[in-house]
Amino acid sequence: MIYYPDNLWFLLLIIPVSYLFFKNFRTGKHDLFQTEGKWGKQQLHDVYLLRWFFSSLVFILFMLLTVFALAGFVSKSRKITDLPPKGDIVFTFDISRSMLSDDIPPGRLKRSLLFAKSIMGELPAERYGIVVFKGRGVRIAPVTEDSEAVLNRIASLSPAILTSKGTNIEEGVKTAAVSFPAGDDRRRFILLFTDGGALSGKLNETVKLLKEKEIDTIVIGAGTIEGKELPIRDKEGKPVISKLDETVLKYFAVETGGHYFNLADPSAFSGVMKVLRSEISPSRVEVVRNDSYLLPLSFALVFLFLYILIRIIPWKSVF
Amino acid sequence: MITFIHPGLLLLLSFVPPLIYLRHFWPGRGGRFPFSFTIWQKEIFRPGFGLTRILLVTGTLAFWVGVTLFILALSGPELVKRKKIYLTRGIDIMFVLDESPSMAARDFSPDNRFEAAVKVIESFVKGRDHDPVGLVGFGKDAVLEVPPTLDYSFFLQQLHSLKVMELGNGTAIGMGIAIACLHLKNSTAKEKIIILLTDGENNAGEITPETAAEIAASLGVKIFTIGLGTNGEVPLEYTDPRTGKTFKGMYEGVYDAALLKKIAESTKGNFFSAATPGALKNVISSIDSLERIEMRSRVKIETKPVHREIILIGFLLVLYNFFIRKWLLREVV
Repeated sequence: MIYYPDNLWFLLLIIPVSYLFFKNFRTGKHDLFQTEGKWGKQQLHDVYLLRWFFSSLVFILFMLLTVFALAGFVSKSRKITDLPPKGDIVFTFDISRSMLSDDIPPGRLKRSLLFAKSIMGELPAERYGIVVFKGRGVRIAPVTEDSEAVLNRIASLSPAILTSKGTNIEEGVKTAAVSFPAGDDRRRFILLFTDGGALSGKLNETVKLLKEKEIDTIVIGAGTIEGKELPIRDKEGKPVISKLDETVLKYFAVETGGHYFNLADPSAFSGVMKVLRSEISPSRVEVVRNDSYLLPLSFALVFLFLYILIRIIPWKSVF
Repeated sequence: MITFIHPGLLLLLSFVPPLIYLRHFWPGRGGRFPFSFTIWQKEIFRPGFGLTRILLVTGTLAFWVGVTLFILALSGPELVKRKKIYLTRGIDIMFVLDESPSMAARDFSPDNRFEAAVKVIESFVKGRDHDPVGLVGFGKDAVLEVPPTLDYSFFLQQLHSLKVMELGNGTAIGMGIAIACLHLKNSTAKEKIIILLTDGENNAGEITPETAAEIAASLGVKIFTIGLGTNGEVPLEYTDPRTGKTFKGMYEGVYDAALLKKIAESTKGNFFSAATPGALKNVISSIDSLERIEMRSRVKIETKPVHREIILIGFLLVLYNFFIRKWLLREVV
């Protein structure tokens, strides 16, 4: 398995590098003939060819192994069981107008809120916080033990509490990511409730942030793929149909190493609870992937040294 | 701080100076066609002192810096961060702040009572480390502004958003205490305290301060009461947030010291009187020092490997040198 597959794109650099090696070889050969004429020593041409071959080979091998080191192959895994059995959960609600759609009864947002309340009922000892987002993210309740306060805030949520337009997932998740208090060794979760419709913001940046902060993500898609007409009209007066965009939400969940559930799925609640319970449990087993870069990097360095040496060594006094 | 997983490999750096010597200064070094025929200027086979020389020098420098970075990356560099993890639960502290119009009285120069109270609460919170803090505001009504939380930035943001007269014209001390108690009820903290800051007499709300204090006592919540303000006439100015109208005038009124003392005593807390900004600061400092528990903590070492960034920079530097020599200067071997 590869940690950073994006870095494999650097392999494409081998193409221009090889081209330059070949092009310059031909130029050099031509120049040798120009200098020596056809009476030039064959030995000179052989040495030139050998030097060029090994010099090019080791440099390309150096490039290849460096890119492998950058990509980071996973070598082994480790299990850790000694982790704190406590969790902080930040509910992150998309409160854009599309969440008013009632394609899943009693409505996307209402169902999401009920879902969150049920989680709090099942896990009363955890700390909870609330973030809502549209075009920007806002903390509605800080992470607190006071579930009474969080439940009250949940009950008051509606699209009307935030005037900004849009559905900026990056803003929402970033606001949630900085809501976790420092000084604790608790597990951190963001439960993202959204229909994924017309999302904006840089998903990749958000994924990076969540990985850095070691925050687990559970994405809960609200709505149906078929969608339903919203009680609003667009600028041209046409009816607006909002659909659940599962593709982007599943992508986000996979990229963050998290889980995706469909709110309309009757097994979604038990699925989320299973994930949360197993993550918060003191006997949790975590698989830690070790980035194995040492071996390819060592060989890359060896080839780089060889590249230098090939250029240093006098080859039969002809070069 | 940077540490290395394999510091022994840093010894490879000792190979770099001899290699530089052999590559660039050793008279017996081989493979010398290190210039392009295209820059041969008839008389001498060496680059000029212009752009070509700059490119050669920067390319060579980049190459050796790149080699050095590769060796550093091989040694496993890691950024080490120390994170303090608290093993004990802090004290839950709820501020119950009077927002009635009389709090706009300007006898805490240069601030009014309300602004002075906000300032001392802020400095108090900033001085705490791992104690959840919450906020209840009260006027004619009482409302939970912030539940007990360790998210101090959220707390301070909400604290600064409070306004005098936002909760109506009145002083519902009992309601303020009751709301604070309600939100401390399920707290797992061993110690829970309420710090009540007011300048008036209870004149609103369905729950009397005495009853609220009884509830607090039954929950094991201590109440520290702080009476704000001076006797005599004081200039007052505030803007009603609902109408936008500004009111100016003289105000005369004092807090009910006997009631505040009674509330504090019935919950094993203390009553303080603060008539000046200095006195208010001293009062808050006293409560701060009284309500401290021994916190146990451990330091968690978090490491972040940075080898990937270093490899990438080294790689780009080596390639920079390669392209200068092979592409721009057309080095053949």
